[in-house]
Amino acid sequence: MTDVAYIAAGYGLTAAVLGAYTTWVITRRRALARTLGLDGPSKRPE
Amino acid sequence: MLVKTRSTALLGWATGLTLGLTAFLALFVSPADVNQKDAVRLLYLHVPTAWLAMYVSFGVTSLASALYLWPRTRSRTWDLVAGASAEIGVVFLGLTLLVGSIWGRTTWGVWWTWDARLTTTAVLFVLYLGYLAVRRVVADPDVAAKRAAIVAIAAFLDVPIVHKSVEWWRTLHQPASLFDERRLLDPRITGVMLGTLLLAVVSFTLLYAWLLVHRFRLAWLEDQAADRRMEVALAERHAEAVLADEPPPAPAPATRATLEPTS
Repeated sequence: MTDVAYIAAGYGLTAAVLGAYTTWVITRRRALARTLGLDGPSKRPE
Repeated sequence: MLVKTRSTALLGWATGLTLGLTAFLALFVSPADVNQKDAVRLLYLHVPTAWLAMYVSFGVTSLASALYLWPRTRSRTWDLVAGASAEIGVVFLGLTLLVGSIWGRTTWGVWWTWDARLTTTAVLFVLYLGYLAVRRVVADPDVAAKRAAIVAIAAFLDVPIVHKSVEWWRTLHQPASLFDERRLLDPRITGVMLGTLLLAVVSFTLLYAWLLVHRFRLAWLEDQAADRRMEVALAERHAEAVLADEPPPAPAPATRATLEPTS
C-alpha cells in the first residue's frame, strides 16, 4: 500500500473528530437531562 | 416529533455496522486507482462527508429555517432542528476540508491551493460558522431564531456555487464522481469502487441521522434549561420587587432608657 501515513492520518483524524463530537453530544445530553430531572424515558422531547 | 429510544438504538447499531463494513471495504477490498494509487481510499471519506455537509445537513438547515420563517409552520422545533443540523454539517465540512487537504498533498503535492472548489468550500465553512455564532447572540428567542433562519438561507446560496465551481472555473479539483446530475446513471467509477463509495454515502447518512436525533435532544434540553434559568431569574426579581414595595419597619417605641441622657 502506498501513502500509508496519509491514509492513516485521514482515517485517524476522521475517527477522532467524529468520536469526540459524538462523545460530547451524548455526555452533555445525559448531564443536562440529569440536572433538569428529565432523564426518564417518558420525559423525552416530543 | 416523537423520538423513540429503541429506534434510535437500532439506528445506532445500523450506523456502527455499516461504518465498520465501509472501513473494511475501503481499506482492504477496494483496489488502488491507476493514477491516484492508494490515496483513492481517502475519497471514501472525503466524498460522503462533503455530500452530508453540503447537501444533507445544510439542506435540512435551510428547509427547517424556511419552515420557521413561514408563519403557518413556525415552531421552536424547526429552529432547534436547523441549529442541530448546521452544527453537524460544520463538523462534516471541516472533515471534508481536512481529508481533502491530505488527499491533495498525496495527489497534487500541496496541502492547499486557492482553487475555485476549495475556496468556495472554505467560504461555505466560514458562512456556517458565522451562522452558529449568530445563534449564540443573546436576544429575544423569536428574534434570534428569525435572524438565524435568514442567515442560514443566505449561506445556503453558496452550495450551488460550490457544486458548479468545477464547471464554471478552470480548477484543479476533479469533476463530481458520483453526484454529477448529467451522469447519475453512468457514474465515472464502477465495480467495487462504486459499491464501496455508495455504502460509504449510506453509512455516513445513517450517522448523520443518528447524530441529528441526539443533537436535537441536546438542543431541546438546552432550551428547557434556558427557560428554567429565566423562570428563576424572574422569580428572584419578583421577590426583590415585593421586598422593595413593603413599607419600612416602624421604629421601636421610645423607652425611658433611650430618652434619658447617658451622661
